[in-house]
Amino acid sequence: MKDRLWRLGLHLLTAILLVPGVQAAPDAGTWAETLLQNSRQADYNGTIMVLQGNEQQAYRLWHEGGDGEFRERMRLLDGPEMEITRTPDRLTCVHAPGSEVPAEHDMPASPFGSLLQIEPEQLQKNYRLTEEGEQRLAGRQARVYLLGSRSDSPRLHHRVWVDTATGVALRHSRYGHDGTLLTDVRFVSFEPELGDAPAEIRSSFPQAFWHQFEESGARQRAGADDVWQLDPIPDGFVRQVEEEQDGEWYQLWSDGLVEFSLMVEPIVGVAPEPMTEQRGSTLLMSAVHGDWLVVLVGDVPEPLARSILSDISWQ
Amino acid sequence: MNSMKMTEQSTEQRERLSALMDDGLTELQARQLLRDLQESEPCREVWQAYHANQAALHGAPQVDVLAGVNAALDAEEAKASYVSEVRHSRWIGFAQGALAAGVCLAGILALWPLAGQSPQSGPDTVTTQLPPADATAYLPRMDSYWSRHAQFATVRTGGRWDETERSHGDDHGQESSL
Repeated sequence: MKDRLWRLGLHLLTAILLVPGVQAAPDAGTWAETLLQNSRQADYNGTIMVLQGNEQQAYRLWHEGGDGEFRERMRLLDGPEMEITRTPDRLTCVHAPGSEVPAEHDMPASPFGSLLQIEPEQLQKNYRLTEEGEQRLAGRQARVYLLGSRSDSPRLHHRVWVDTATGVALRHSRYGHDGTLLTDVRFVSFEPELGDAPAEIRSSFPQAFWHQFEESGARQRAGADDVWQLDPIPDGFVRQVEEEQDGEWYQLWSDGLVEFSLMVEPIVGVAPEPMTEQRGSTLLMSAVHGDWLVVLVGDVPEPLARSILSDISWQ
Repeated sequence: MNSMKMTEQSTEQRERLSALMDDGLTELQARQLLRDLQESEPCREVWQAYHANQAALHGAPQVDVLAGVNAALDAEEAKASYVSEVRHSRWIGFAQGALAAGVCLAGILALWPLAGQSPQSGPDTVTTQLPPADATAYLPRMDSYWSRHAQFATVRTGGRWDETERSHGDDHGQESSL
């Protein structure tokens, strides 16, 4: 009996090892730290395609790595001409003369933004990492990893392609809890060097309109804590920011890989209809709580967003 | 010491009122100022004077701005009965304040075109520009929620991105930050 059980166990182990795509999982925390280090410190350039829902946007990217620092230039290849320069704490948008500049300019997100914001420790706690083998991508050999939440509640799934030679992220796909591809960011060409990086960003746009964003601390105010409380807190999420200004509350929550914002404000006049808007993997959902409007924006699936909006209350 | 503080407050309020006239305040700043406007008699007088000056400059008939705001507030009061269900909340005072500030904003926004209207326009135009309070008191701002999320979600350290500088129309001498 003991012998049969032993053989059965051995066969089972062999079968698991032979199934393509299921391999021994590396440590998610160490994996994330290595990915962050390589993606920041290496020099590379290439063309990136960003698919968000039904919208596509192409960028030319030059990334100059450094010890703890990095400098990045991006040029939009579709739509109005714009260039973006980025360091860890400063971002400048430069618009070509005559190009259309929106009155309220959003801070442009980096294509691999969320991937480069990973918190390795939290990621380790909240996600399972599975290696799915190798694939050829943008003319390079890449190792494919799947990040799945350890939580039982619905979450997005993430697949990341990492260049085997440089360890730089080449592609990041985000899928809904039902497996639908929502956002896909990928290099379509990649060179592990700076290549033809423009020497002076303004040289291509004389008389440009530019504006600059800088990182600053959150404006936390006394009494902002614990006024609007989320109970229960969704598995693995930790509050990163809580601030109050002029009677409006803001909270940012993160599970180490994705974030969601909660904004609460008094309703002035007629209560607006609750609404939902989806941009790729990012969802905006609003709810009315008595005299207050609560808005959630973040990379969470709709069922989780509904549950969060039901679980926030005034304490 | 107190009088110096009051003078500073008064100067600051004048500057903010002037900025409001020039459309130079954010929505939040405007709301705060409108709350002050409700509570402070001197502040209301300055506001009235600004409008009177603007109207005189443009040859427009003088209109009682505060009467317009009060009318909007009265109209809103009649429609705000649904709030009574939650009057026991310790924050209802604040909520009402915000509601009234919103109505105040609606009233002022409705009268806003006065400052820029042509002398040929008659007082009738002013009256017809007053929208129902319940239709304008809430301003949809979905884009601002997306922006705010982007402002915070891409900072690892629990901070935020703020726009700190921008070029003007003919300014192109800024050195690259790289």
